[in-house]
Amino acid sequence: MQLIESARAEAILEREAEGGATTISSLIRRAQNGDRAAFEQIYRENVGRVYAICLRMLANSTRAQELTQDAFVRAWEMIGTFRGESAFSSWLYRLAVNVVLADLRSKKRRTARVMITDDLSVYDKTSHTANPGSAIDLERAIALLPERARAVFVLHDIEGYQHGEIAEITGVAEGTSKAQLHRARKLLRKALEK
Amino acid sequence: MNCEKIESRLHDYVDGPMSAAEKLDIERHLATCVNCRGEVEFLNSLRQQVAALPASIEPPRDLWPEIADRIAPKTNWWATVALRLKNVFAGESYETGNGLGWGMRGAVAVAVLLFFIGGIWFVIQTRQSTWQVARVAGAPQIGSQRLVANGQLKVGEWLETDDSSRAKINVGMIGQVELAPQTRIRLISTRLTDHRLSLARGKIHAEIWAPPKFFFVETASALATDLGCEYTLEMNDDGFGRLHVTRGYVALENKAGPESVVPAGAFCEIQPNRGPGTPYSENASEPLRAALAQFDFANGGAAAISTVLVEAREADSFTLFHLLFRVVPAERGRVYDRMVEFVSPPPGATRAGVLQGDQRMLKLWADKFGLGQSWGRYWLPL
Repeated sequence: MQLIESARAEAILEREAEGGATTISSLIRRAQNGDRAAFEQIYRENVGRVYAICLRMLANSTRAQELTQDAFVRAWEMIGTFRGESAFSSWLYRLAVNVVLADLRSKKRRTARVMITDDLSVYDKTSHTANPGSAIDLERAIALLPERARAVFVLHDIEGYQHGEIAEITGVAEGTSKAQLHRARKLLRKALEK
Repeated sequence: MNCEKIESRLHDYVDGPMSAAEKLDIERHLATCVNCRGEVEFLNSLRQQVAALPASIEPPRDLWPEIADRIAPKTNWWATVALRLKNVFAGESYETGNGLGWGMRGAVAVAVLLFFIGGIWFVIQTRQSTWQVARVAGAPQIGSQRLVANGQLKVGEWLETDDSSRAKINVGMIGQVELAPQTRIRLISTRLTDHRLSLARGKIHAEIWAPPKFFFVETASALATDLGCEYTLEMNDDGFGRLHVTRGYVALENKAGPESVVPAGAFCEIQPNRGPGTPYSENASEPLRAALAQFDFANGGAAAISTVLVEAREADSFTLFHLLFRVVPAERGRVYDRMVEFVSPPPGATRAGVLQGDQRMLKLWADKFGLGQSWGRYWLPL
C-alpha cells in the first residue's frame, strides 16, 4: 500500500507540476467551496493514514473507524479555516489526533472501554515491510501498552511529534510526556523480548 | 555515573539533539556498561522497527458513505421560498432585476406554489429524519446530552446507555428499537426505504412492522437486514455477537462468507472476519451448537458435520438446509439425506437435482422452510 500511496502522491505532484486541475490545492479550494466530490477525493487519499493514527492510538478497530469518520466530518467543517500555512496532510493528521485525544479524555469513554484488541487481523491489510513478522509483533505490543503511554509513543515515535507539541495538545507537562514515552519503550522491550 | 541516573538520558542520547559534552559523558559510560549498551541497542533497533511500520492501514470497510451522509448540505428552504415570494409580489425578477409581465408572473406564482408545497414536504421529511428517543430507565445520553425524558436522535448522532440505563427509539413510523444497558448505537440513515443504525456494542431488541428490507443494523462484523420481524442483536467491542430472532426473518451478511437467513426461534453467531455462522434452533442440543461453532469458526470440517448430523432433530432441519450451501460438495449428500429424514422433499425437487445445485429445486426447498422471500439475494449458488 505504501507503494500505491507513493505512486498516488507522485501522480498528484506530477499533475501539480503540469498545472493540472486535480492538484491537492485545487481539491482543497473546491472542498472549501462546498464541493463534496473533491472532499471525497481528499478522503480517499488520506483515509489510510488517518485510520492508522486512530487505530494505533486507540487499539480498537471499531472505535478507530468511528473516530476516523468523526475526523473527516470535523475536517469538512473546519476546512474553510485551512490557510495553507502548513501542509494539508499535517493539518488533517493533527486534527485526527485531536479528535482521538478528546475521545481519550472523555471519562465516560475511558470507563466504558474494557477491551484492548489483540486481534491482529486489523493489521492484515497493511503494507509489507522487510520483516512482516516483527512488524506484527510490534503492532501487537503497541496495542497492549497502557492508554496514555501508547498515545505518547504513537505521537512521538511513529508520528514524529516533539515532546513540547505533545505537551501542548495533551495538556500534560513535557516531563510527563517524556516519562510516558520511556515507560512505553520499557514495556515494549519486555514484550518484544518475551 | 550509575545506570539508574543515566537511564532517562539514554533516551535523549538516542532521540537527540544533545550537546557534545553530554554525548561524550554518556559514551564514556557506555564503553564500560554492558547493560546500558544493551538498552541503547534496543532503542536503536526499536527506532528501525518503527520506521518500517506502514504509514497507512486500510480500514476494514468503506467509511465514506456515512461521512457523506453527515456532511450533506442542510438547506434553509424556508428562506429560499420567502425570497422567491417576495420577488414575485414585488414584480421583480431576481435574475435580471426587470419587471415581469402578468402571464410570466402567474407562471412564477404557480412554480413558487409548487415550490412551497415541496418545501412543506421537505420539512415533513426533515422532521422524519430524526428518531424519537424515550428514556426507559437511568440516564441514557445522546451525544454528550443526558436524556431526562424524551429526545431526538439525528443522523450521525450517538445514543449510549450505561450500566443502569435503557432507552427506546421510535424508528420513524416503521418500528421500535429498545437499547439494553451498556449499549452504543449511531443513527446512520433515515431515508424512506433505508432506516439504518450502527450497533457499536451492547444489545438491542428491534420490532419492525415495515415491509422487508426497510430496516438495517450495521455491526463491525455483519449487516442485519430486517425481513419483517422482531429480534435481539447483541455485539461486543471485538465484533463478536449473536442474533436471536423471535418473529419473522433476519438476513445476516458480510463480505467474508456466506449469508444466513435466520428464522423465528433461531440463533445465529457472529464473529469478525468470518461470515455469519449457521443459524440454529433455540432447542438445538449443546453438542450440535458446539459442533456448528467448530464448523463455522474453527475449520471443524467433516468431523463437526458428523456430530451435527447425529445430533440433528426435526427442529434443526433448516440448519441442515443452510449447511447444504456451506459444506464441501462431497459432504452435501449425507447432509441432504439427514434433512429428508425430517422433511419430505417438495414436489418437483429431486436429490440429484439439489446436489447438482439446481436453483429451481433449491428455491422449492427454500419455500418449504419459509425462506423463499430471501431467495436470489441472500443465497449463494451451490
